[in-house]
Amino acid sequence: MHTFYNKAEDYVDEMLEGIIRAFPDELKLVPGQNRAVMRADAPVADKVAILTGGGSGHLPVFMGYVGKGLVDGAAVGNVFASPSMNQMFSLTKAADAGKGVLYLYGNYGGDVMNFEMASELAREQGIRVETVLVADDVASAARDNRADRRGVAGLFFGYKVAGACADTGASLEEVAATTREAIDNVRSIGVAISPCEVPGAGKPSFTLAENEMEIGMGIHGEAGIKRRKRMPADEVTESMMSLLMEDLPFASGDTVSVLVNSLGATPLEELFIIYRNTARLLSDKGISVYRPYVGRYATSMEMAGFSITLFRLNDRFRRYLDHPVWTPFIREARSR
Amino acid sequence: MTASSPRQDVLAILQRLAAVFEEHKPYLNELDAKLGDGDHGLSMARGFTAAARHASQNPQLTIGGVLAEGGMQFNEAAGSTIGILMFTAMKEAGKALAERNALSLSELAQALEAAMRGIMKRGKADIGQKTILDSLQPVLEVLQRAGQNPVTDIRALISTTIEGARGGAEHTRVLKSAAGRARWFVDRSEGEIDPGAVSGYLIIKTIGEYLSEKLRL
Repeated sequence: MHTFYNKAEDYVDEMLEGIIRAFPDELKLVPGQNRAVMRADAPVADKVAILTGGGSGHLPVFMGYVGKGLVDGAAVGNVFASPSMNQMFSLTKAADAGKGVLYLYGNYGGDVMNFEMASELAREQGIRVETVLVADDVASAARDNRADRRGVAGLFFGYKVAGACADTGASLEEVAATTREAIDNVRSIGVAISPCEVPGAGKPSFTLAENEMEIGMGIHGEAGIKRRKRMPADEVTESMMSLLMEDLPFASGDTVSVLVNSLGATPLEELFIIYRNTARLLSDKGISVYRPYVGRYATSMEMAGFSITLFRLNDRFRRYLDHPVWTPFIREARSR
Repeated sequence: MTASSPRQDVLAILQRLAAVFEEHKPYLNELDAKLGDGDHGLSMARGFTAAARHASQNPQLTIGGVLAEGGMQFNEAAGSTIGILMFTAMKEAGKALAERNALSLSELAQALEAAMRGIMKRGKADIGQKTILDSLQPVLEVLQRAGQNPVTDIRALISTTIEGARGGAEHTRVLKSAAGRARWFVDRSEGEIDPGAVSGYLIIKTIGEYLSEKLRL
């Protein structure tokens, strides 16, 4: 066993307890709910509340983004399992400041069903709810079937835009429409070389041979595009980038933000080797990069691998990326 | 059909389900690891344990209440897709049974049908997509057919429903995953039995065996 925890069934609760202990001035549990976290100052007056949630095992997704400038609260599920509708509903009631609530989360069946049910309960109580699903993984479905795609690291850009837009005092409809437009301009793809293991499951979520990798593999080990022999960083990056570029498509003259993200085990050193080639490929195509992010932004516990996310910017999105944020896992105090 | 109230029966069945899924947890996790992320047994055991606990702590609840609130507790403990689907199924079944004091075959069929319809609607799933529905559909057919004629041998009928659920679950081996996260594992899913369908079978088997035993008393 290469991991540190106590009992598998306590994995999520003990992690949550640790996070609350580490950031008591920034995070709090929703009263009466041990699986929903919100900003210590929530509900925030005169602001649409941005709420998210999903299975555990992906930190900093989801709780790590709860804070000023990003997300108001997150419902916390078991590892790789959606939170319950009641956890989401309690969060909704606690975080709504009267200006409505945006549900912003990844496109997975369990999350969708639970959030839909929570939104039905919220509407019955007069709380306005809009939903934006993040479905940015180009490897998970064909382009003409985009609504079926899974949501991965692109969530981060969704949070950035929604959080900044909500801080301007925009209405719920406006925050939802802006976030949806942003997500329409976000594309991601991942690659995995070794699996993770759900605590208590007793074995890894998938197996890959020592010399294999899977391009397009999902963050829960969902099947990707194909398995092949491992390649050097530049070649992997190049084949992933060509899948990404043609999908939107990104074109000469565009400005993009780039997120090179570790799935957990892949170190920063390797991420920068990957970023180096990513930036070069973009520059070759006449695409300029604004505000790149390199690090652990959406993980699968100890999975080794990485993802690349591109976000095509306009002036407004660029401003929103500059908006300061202050959360346990990301602190951008001021714009450049 | 018996001395104990249907509400007591529901409680007893929930307690048995908690024990059954605790026992089958490793097996179901293993099946799920082939098609998903390997936590299905864990979710089912957690869910039924929470539902049974809630039912035993709240004796004032009607059948509908036991099922609806028990489903809520199931969802709370298990989360996940199966959590919300079981909540929906239990709530809808509870609505169909409402405050009945005795259960007839046709009412059981109605409850099962309501539960299945709830799963289809919330899960946007259909028969034949390699889900829990595939083990329940044969049971529904048996119950609906039986409801049309006087039943002479209730225990034989119960065996037939359990056999139907088993066959339905077994049949998922030849089906391709078309709903839920398992659809991402289509290539891996061929030839494998669906863990949700196995759970459907275990639920039917547990209920059926409980009813059979009661008839013997």
